[in-house]
Amino acid sequence: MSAWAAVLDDVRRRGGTPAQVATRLGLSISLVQAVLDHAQRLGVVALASGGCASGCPAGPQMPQACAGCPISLP
Amino acid sequence: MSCHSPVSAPVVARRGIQTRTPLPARLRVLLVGGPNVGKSTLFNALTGARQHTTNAPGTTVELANGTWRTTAQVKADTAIERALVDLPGTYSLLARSSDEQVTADAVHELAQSSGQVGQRGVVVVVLDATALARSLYLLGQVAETGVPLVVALTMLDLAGTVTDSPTATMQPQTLAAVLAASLDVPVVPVDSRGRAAGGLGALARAVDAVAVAKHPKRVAGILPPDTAVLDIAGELAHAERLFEWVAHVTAQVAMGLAPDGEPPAGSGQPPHRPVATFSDRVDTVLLNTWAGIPVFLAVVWLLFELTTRFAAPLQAYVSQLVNGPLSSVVTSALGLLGLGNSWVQGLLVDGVLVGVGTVLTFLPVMAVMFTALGVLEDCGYLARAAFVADRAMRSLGLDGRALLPLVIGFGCNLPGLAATRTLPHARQRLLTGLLIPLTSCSARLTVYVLLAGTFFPHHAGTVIFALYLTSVALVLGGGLVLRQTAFRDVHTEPLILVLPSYQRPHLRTLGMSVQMRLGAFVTGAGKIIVATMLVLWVLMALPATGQHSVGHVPVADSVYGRAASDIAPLLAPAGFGNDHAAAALMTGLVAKEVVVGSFAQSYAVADPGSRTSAKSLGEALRGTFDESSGGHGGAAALAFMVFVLAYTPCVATLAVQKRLFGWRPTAAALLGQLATAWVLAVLVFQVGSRL
Amino acid sequence: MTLPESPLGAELRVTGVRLAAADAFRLNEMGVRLGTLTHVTQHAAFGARVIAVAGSRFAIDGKTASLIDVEPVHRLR
Repeated sequence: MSAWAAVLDDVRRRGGTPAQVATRLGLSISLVQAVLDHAQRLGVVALASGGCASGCPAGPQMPQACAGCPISLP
Repeated sequence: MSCHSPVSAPVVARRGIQTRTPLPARLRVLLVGGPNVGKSTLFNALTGARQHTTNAPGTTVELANGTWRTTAQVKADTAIERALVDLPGTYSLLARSSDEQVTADAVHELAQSSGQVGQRGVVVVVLDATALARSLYLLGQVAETGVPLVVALTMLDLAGTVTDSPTATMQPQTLAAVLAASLDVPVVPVDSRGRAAGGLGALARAVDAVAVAKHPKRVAGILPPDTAVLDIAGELAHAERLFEWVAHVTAQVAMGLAPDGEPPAGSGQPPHRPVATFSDRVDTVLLNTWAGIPVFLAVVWLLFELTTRFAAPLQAYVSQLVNGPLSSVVTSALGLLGLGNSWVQGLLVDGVLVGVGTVLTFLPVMAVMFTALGVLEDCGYLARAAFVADRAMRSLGLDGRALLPLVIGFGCNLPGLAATRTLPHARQRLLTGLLIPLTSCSARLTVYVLLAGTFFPHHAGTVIFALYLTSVALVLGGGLVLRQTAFRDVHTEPLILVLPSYQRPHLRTLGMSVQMRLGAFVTGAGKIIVATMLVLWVLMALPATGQHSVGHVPVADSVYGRAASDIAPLLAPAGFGNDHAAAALMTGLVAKEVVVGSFAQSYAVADPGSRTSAKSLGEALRGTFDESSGGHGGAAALAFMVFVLAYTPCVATLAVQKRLFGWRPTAAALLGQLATAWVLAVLVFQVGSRL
Repeated sequence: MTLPESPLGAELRVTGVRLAAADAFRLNEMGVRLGTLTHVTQHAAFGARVIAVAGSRFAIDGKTASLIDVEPVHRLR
């Protein structure tokens, strides 16, 4: 399986951060970031913007990845 | 024609007789690369002072243009000039911002024109050795356009710090050689400062060679796409081939460097044994059960020392500039226009100029504060601070997540109130919203800096630090009281935070953030301050009795003075029962930043002769506070600062509270804040004056 | 055993998440779910823990950590 397919498959099945994906697949973080960046540009992946520790955007600008967060508000 | 063929092996570069074409008179060279890869450093090293900025056609995106000049190899007295353009940093030619679109358009345009006589251009793709895969991905996209290119390899001195990359254990020249063999295009290593004449000279030779080659080499394994427009299925297939190529090159690099018999770094199973990272080792101290909170407090104390000691001299300079030469210039100009000593002069000098001066004086303080907070956030410590403080808040019944709106409140109470919407329950939002006004916002800091600097010049930082500790104590104490009384029904939620790795703050991003926040302070608070100073001047100019004319009335007999006089006796038990302090607190309800300006204005207008430099604001304050406190000016000043800390932040805060929670809680909060402020101030003065 | 009872640095496997549905879903999305391999990197005050999950670090308050069950991972040598 190519790096592209492996990364997208792992993200779909297990979620997590780019660092987690890289460690699970034994790939460099740089490669995983490049794959996810390109996938996001194609619109097949939505990435959370920023970490949970630096503020939680709420309302219409809330990232899709935050939908499951108990502190998120519609 | 078929779609792209699978990329399973590098395409052997074509060799043969290459006929050279003349080097264009002014070769166009584009610098392309990701953000923070050293592209601009390289640009500056290549062009020196021969550069200027233009806007990309049809956009507001700024481009750095320069002349890259070197001496010809064959004729030493002949200079070769190239038109170098530093394009905006981008991770991909699949643009999603105007900056990235400019870069993508420039590359495509150069690719289309490169086949035309005299239009040859070259792209220098800057690869980051610490993020090789990500850089290769961009290189692959640029190579697909067919544009002649050269690779510049940067960040080689930092490559050894990347533990999951094959570049971690190699020599820079070795990496460049292996990449060149794999890519089959020139790869030139450049040091992190764009220096090393050998590197830059080699880059110039490589660029010139590509420019004159009739058939420049293409990157091995990359073929131009048959069509520029693909449907989503085509895009996904193309992405798969592109990343196969990236993985192939990365594997070649790794295999080209690993000792015999050892697998390349970055491949294989995750390690079974947990590996402590640099961030883990630092967190052993910063999150330690006993050391975590003292370290947190030390960081906050350092923040305030920077604000007072570092920013204070700058503040003094700005203040002298505005109150001295600038004020004199305006007064002289008005005199020449026949408006000297008129109400117009009073309005402009004592109204507008005082307001503008107040805003400018506190820019250094704000800049230091915003920079420090930005550094804390960018380096990754702010998340640790939230985690360390969480348990303390939970032990007092506050939700750990409430820390974020409260921390924001220390910057400004308004966004702090807005941030309460992140709390999941209405009762939690109300509880937190009632506590936010007790957080000492940055506007109050302007008052602290003035009074602490005046009455406690050798311990100003420590006094201000103590005030912020008092603010935290008020928040925690208030939360405990409310949780035990009106908010027994509020429950806490789990706290799960992602802790980012510690990293060096990105100075450019930090600078832009500080610039944006300062701009917001100037335009936002600045407008309110200047407008308020104008209103204040009007109130001071209007006589409360019929004995004076407009603009020529002592403060005590003005509308402003009369209101302050009525309030002053209520403040006597706290040691600052004087008209100046009462008036300043009144104007502080509009905006805390105006308190300082109000002092300046009331003293300036009360004794016009003093404005010429005989009496500073600090001296005037000492005199007034000593008088109203019976010789205990320091205790009175401390009590005043505590009052400022605890009473209503500003009318804008009241407006937002009313919008979020309704009139009744807002009105109750207002009365509570005033009562708390008065009680605390009286307590501080009564105890302090007896010590 | 639960996270607060786990020794520092030992490799663990998550065997239970006894949180409310919304909180468990949040952990799920962050990559912490049944079977996830993790280890505790920091002991903070009052039972709060920092755990490592495949390169990332998560800080969890003490009460929540006590509701996450784990077991040591034994590997054949």
